[in-house]
Amino acid sequence: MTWKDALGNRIPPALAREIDTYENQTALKRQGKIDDKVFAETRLRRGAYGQRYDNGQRNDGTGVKMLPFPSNGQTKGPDTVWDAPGMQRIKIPFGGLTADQMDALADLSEEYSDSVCHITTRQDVQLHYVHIDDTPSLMRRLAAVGITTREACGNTVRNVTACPIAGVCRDEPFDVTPYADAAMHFLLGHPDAQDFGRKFKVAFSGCREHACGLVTMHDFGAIAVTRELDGVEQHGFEVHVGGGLGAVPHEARLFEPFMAADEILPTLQAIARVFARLGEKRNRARARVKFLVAQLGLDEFRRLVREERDTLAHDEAWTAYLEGLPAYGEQPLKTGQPLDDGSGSPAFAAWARTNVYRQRQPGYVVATVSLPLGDLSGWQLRRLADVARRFVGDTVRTTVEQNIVLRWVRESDLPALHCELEAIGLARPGAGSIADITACPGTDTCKLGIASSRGLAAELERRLAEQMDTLDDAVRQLRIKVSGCFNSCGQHQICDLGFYGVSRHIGGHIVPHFQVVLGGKWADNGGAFGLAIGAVPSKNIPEVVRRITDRFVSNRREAESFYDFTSRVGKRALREMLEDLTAVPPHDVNPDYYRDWGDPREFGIGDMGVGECAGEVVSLTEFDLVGAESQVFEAQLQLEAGDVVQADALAYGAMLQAAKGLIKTEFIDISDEPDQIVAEFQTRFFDTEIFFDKYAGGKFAQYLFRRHARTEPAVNRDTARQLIAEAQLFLEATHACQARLASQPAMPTAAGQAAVIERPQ
Amino acid sequence: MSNSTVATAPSDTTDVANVQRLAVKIFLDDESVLRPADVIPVFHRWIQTRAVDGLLIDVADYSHMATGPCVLLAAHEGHYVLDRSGGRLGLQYARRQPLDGALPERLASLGRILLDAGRLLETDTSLPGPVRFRGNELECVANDRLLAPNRAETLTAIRPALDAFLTTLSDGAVWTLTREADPRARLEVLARTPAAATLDTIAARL
Repeated sequence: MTWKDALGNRIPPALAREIDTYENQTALKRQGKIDDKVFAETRLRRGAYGQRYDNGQRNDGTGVKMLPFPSNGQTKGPDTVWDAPGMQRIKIPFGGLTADQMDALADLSEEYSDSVCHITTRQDVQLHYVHIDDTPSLMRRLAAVGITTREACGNTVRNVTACPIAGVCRDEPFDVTPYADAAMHFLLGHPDAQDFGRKFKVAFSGCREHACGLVTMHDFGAIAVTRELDGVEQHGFEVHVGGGLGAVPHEARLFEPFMAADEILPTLQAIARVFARLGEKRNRARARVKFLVAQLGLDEFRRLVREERDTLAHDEAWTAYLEGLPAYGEQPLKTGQPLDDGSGSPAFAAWARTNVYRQRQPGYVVATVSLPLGDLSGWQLRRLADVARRFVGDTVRTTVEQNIVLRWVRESDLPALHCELEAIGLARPGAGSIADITACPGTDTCKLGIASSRGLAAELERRLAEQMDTLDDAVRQLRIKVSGCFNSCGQHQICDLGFYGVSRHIGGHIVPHFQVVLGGKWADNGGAFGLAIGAVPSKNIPEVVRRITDRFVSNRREAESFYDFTSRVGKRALREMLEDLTAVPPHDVNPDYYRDWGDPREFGIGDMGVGECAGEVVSLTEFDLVGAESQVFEAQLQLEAGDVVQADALAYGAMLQAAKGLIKTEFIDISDEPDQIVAEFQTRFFDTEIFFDKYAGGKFAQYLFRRHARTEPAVNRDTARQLIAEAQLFLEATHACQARLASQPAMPTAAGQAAVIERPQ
Repeated sequence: MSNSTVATAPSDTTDVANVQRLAVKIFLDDESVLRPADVIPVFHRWIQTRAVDGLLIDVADYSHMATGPCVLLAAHEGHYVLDRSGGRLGLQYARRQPLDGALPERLASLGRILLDAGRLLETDTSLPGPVRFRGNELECVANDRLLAPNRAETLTAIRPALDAFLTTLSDGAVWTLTREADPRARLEVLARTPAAATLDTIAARL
């Protein structure tokens, strides 16, 4: 008996065929009949992702050790061992879940994962520690409740996200849900959306002012708007394109102020075709729509898309869903009824203050189930499904803040609902507050994680939850987001206090750090992207939060937002406040700094042997890196002051100085001439791939090469801003390269190498 | 009753003898002596010293959740879990890869792996309090809704193997079995016997 037999015709035929094909491909890969790269993309397109340590090795704190999986050399992708556990991403379009789907997810987490369901920053669900052999059954069981994992990863259209309160929001002109749903169905498996160089992200938002769908960080973002035409209200969208976070964030640009609803799907198709045809394919680092828009210019991109749109053969699917719109809507389970004042315990009052949103429909509210780090157990999810059945039915959604909302709660049911949530450990107050922190998986499970984003977030949540009653109101409403690396899965650029993991090589050890990111904005659909102001040791980040929030409280002008406060006070002053926190005590004085949050292992590579001579040279490199850090920070200040030319020059100068520092590990007499620095850097570190990141390859070096090749300074704020972000990443790559070099055993001073590491007396 | 049960579990067959995904949990006698955070370095040390059975991979901290797994020692063959499911802290071994032998043998193998790990925790001097597990209370889980849906007849089918396993542990004493009532849950059976016993004692009987 298999799940395929058991579920039989409960799976839609098309989906059943797809999963059968996937299972066959898995079997063929087992027989060695499919290339590693091809199979990797195949499973990624079905959401079956890699997970940390799936290359079969791990640093256990005493050194890197092999993990001898019984795979007999079988792999499921390049450098990915067959039997190593993986992550299964499950697409939840616009976050919409039914109670039955919640039951199914709960079951799968228990049987194939570790009994934990994780809600992601794209409204997906992720299960970890899943064996590849279990994925076909897992997919069938999802398919039986109407969920597909197709195109959850890979170079595809990812989960289409939408505001979790769409349809019940007090501000929206209309409900964007059916449009998001239609976009998802239209693009899923569409032939024009299968040949991208990288992923493509779509979001729908009900309004401009609130965070909602975060359209500014999407390849295609649509904000609901209306206009009157011949006395008739017409629904449409303000369309933005070319946004994205990632290593180098780009704010989306206005493509069209009003696009009629019936043009949304053909336009998406046209963009997909232009992106597939003209988007970068070979260099993954530049293979997003944001780079294509930047390269072509918005006007040309728009022209090409419109031209493409005009050539498309008509497709009934573009508008078929519109006929169902008048009938679309969620049916509340119960009749709306207001809550009498004064009911409920103090715990209920605290929860209701932060976790309840009054719907525009009288007598109804949205209740947020705040999940610590986006996690809930399989048992909790199943019980939550029961709670949903009793109180709201199938009107449940996940959120990009890693929570779950129950919509259409009858207001008078709130005390009873709170009681039931309390009974299953899901009545945590503080939703959307400073103690409700978003964090990507980071080093817990992600292959790209540098520092423990979840460890830091858990520590901050613990401390801040204890202080909630005494925190100033303005501080309570701040948002913290943490990423384990620069790739921004924790969305650290679009919040008040953002952090992303980096590392520093100090005294022969590697120390976990976080870059402190300020200047971001959650409101206005992610209305401003923050920039890093400096790296602080991981263990000092709680003190960073305390100092900055204290200063906010003491210096805040009446009703001033945190964004306005940081703009007014300035990053220089805020950075100065943190200066002493950047110091790292020697290892023998406080070894705790050399471990990450929640992890007793020595961080990074332990047994380093750094020769005396190399040590001197390394310290020169560090000197240059410190200088480069100062320059990139100064570039930010100049950008804030509006001097884009100077900001551009400083960011470029920072990259040159960092490159020069690295060159000094081999060639001490490097001059200050940009041409020589770039040429030496290219020969010694790029061509040899010494500078290459394990996953990103040489992309950070390209930032320097591209800027060096450009003879004109930045012409606008956007390009200067991007160069600053690129310079910061180039610096991080230089730090990482330096740490790798330093971790290599000291080389004997053979003739060839003596010249490399000797310095003049 | 939700029709999700229909969608996710087969309706008429039990094949419990072939179940490989099995889990057993033992419960702490006094939960106040063990903070989950204290177990994290212990599990990391187990990886370094290969202290317990299996290919040990990594440690995951879920202590922020109110219930469910608390600290996970992920391993290829099966996870070791400091588990707070049902609001009770204990140590669970959840098998993920097949074991040799018929069901009674597999249960005994599982029990031995779990008890070895439990005794290691009991004797770990780095932990602040005296950690003691109850030797007269276990939870057995058939973590496979396809082969072992949570029904009375499944328990009937598994009962001989379970009885053999439990009787060995208690040297013949009778155990009371309580099955989880929710048909959507996995087959979870809580087994209790009146006579207190240490892990050393029951491990010696296996």
